[in-house]
Amino acid sequence: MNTATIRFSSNILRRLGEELNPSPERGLIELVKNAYDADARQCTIELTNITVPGGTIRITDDGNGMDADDITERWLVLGRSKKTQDKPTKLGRIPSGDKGLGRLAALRMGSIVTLTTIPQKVQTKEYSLCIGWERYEQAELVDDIELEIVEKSQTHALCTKIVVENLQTAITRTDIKRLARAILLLADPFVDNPSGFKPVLKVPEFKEFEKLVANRYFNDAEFHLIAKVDEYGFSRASVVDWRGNELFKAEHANLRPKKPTMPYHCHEIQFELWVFVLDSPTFSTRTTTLREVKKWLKAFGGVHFYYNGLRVSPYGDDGDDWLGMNLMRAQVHSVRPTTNTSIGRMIVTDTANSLMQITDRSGFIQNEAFLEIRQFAREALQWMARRRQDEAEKKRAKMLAEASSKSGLARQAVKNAIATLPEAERSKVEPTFEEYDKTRNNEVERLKREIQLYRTLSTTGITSAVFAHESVNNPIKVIAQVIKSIRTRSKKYLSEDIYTKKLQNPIDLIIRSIDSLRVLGNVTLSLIDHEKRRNSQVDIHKVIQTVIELFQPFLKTRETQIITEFGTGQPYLRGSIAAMESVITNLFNNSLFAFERNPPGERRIIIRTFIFTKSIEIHVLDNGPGIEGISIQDIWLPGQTTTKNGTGLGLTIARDAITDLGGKVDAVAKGELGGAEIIIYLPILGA
Amino acid sequence: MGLMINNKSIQRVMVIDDQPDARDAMAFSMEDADLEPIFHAHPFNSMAECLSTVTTADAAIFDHHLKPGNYADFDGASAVAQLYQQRFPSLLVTAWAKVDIDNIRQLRKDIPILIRSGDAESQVIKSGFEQCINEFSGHYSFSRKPWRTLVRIEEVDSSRVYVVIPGWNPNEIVSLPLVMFPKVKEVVPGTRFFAKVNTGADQQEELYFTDFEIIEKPRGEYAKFLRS
Repeated sequence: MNTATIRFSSNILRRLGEELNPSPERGLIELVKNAYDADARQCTIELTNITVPGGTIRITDDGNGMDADDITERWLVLGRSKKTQDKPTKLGRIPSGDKGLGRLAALRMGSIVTLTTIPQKVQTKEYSLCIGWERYEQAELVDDIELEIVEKSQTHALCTKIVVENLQTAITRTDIKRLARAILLLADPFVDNPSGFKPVLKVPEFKEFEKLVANRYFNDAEFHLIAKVDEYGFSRASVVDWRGNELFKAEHANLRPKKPTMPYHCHEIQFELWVFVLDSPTFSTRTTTLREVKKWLKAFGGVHFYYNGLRVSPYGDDGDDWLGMNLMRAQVHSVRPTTNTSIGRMIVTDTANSLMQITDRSGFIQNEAFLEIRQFAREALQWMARRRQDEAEKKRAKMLAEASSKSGLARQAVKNAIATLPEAERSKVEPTFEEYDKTRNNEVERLKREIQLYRTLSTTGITSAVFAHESVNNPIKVIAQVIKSIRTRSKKYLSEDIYTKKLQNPIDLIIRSIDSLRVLGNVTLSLIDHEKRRNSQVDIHKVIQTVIELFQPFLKTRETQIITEFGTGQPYLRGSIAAMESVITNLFNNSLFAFERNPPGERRIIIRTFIFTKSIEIHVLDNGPGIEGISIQDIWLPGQTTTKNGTGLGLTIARDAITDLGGKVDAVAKGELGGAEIIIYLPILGA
Repeated sequence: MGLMINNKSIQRVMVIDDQPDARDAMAFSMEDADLEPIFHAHPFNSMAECLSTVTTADAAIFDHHLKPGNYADFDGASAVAQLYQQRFPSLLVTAWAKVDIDNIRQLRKDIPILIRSGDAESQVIKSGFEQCINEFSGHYSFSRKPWRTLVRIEEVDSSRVYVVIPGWNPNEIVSLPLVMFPKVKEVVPGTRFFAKVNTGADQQEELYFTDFEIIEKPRGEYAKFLRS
């Protein structure tokens, strides 16, 4: 009897390596996953000269390493089924498993591969192996080539290094970006990562992504959906606001109204989705900008799939919509999230291998387990949409009720009048009116938000006024009184010599400090003086002088000098002193905070006026760092700030107050003194 | 121990403040002035109770704010003003917040001394009592002397009247409580009154107003002459 074996031509390596792996990123990610399985904490990928063919890739990790046996029995064996996944590693990681094909693809990117590894078992030994792929090109069969594992003693720290040299093709910028994103997202970077695994790609693009990922804009989400399936397949879900307060809640039967008693055929999974409302009114009162949140969502948006702690692509990749969110939105518009307006993750812990990844690593095989998970997520999304729809309906009903109010009636009257117009005219007028109506509604909405914001600020103001009043009345009074008594007594009971030498200076210092404290308290009290809100003749120069006087204690501690260069005359306008004061106060505050961004040095603010027959120009200049990191138009928007802990409201208030006084305002990023220059134009009654 | 002013002896001084710490602080200054501080730690049920308690001493010093500390339902200013009427020497302490000054204005004639919180040193206390006793015997300091002068109303709102006293300072607006004016309907911008005002005052915080007399608007031929 003749026996035979199936043998593999060396061409199979090309088939399996290159053809099954569509992009360099997927193969390299497999190597990073190997490091994860080996309990590595660090894994670094370096790319050298890769913009042209012939470059080098170097992957280093501090994992458990391999001995000669491991290399021959595991690392060099291709296509073996998964490792036993039910056994977690020492660090509690569930191995991602590996058929070796992804690895093959990565290794095949160059013509020479070198593996150097120190096994944890015998840390005094280092094993290395070199594969020259050219030898396989010439060989008939895979088995014909013998590889040599070199063993030598060593003293370095635990380390496994794979170097792929002489890359066959260049790696493009797009590839690098994709790789950077994939590596960063691999071990869920949005939570405090329990696995402690932080792979790093050493390219500038990675740093950019890393910076971006660090901005967790989750707090800017309007809704946060959390849905879970328990060990028996029953689900529950809730939608919370940004503080984590529950808005809607559902049990299994609410989530599956059509099959209320049927469990999902998958278990212990968690699905989370953060939904953003990306419009300017929503962001008008926040400290983050719409633009940055959009940029962040563009980079990381989508629903990512974390399988046993590691991300599985292509779920949540650019252009992937595995839950069909965009399609659902197309069907039922309005309250549904899309891949551009949300970010989410599906967390699945699967030790029973019920999910299987496709060999080419393009996701999971669509078996029942996978389809059930998807079904669960979709049902959770549908439930959330129903709740939000419900809420929207209630709001609409309220609006309808309000429509009977005066403006509602007036609006209806206009609509009725339009309805009586001849068709030709009506078709022209109707859309115009609707546009007007929409704009007006937006305006009302914006004003409501602004009112809310100002209410919050007023409360802060009132509280600090009460605080100021209390401290001037009580503790400051007591300290002032007592220190003066101490002064009197020291003079009386101690020799004059001891008093002047030892006590006079400290006592005087306390008295001076109390005076400054009093002034600070008075600043707050004086700002809320109700008479200042009345319209009257406002002497502009006098208001500026008063504010400068009020600021004296601040200016002293901040070593800042304010210089006035007033035009001749006593310009005045009709308005409220409070408005004028808030303009000057906010501009001064702005300059004072800007100085903090500069290294110590002379701090100077110049306030200059130019008086014309019917108007005045007020220039406020400083020698701070100028307007940086924000465009000139944006500085006036509420919530725009470059100062840490700043409210971003100072300039908005200044602008609003100037508008109320009938003027306008401009800014120069780097003015005459090198810092910001704000120019105010105001109409005046006389000078 | 004690003070002797115009044959009146002051030794025991009642310290009225709603805050215990503030009372203790004031006691130090009293001791420095050779005076004996006396406290009333319990709240007062009424102004009458307060006045009868206080007058058992030789003099008193009041803080203006007594209500916040759950100590009395009246302000120090009204107690001091009543004691002034009884020719009992008393001083008032306040933080000089604008709103307090405006509210005290109505009683200011009967409050000779308004000490700024924390400034009540022994010397200030002594000269304060001196001034009180001098006023009781008809000796006013220049800044406290009343003169009949013109008061012009600039603006009026629901509770306040903003006036200018050309004889004191034509460029400064002073705010008065509306209730100070005899007939409310005549209180409109542009109306002029005569009133007794201490025009020798240095600061508007010291100004007081009494005896308002409305100045009749010119009528008939004289008015025509004025308009021409």
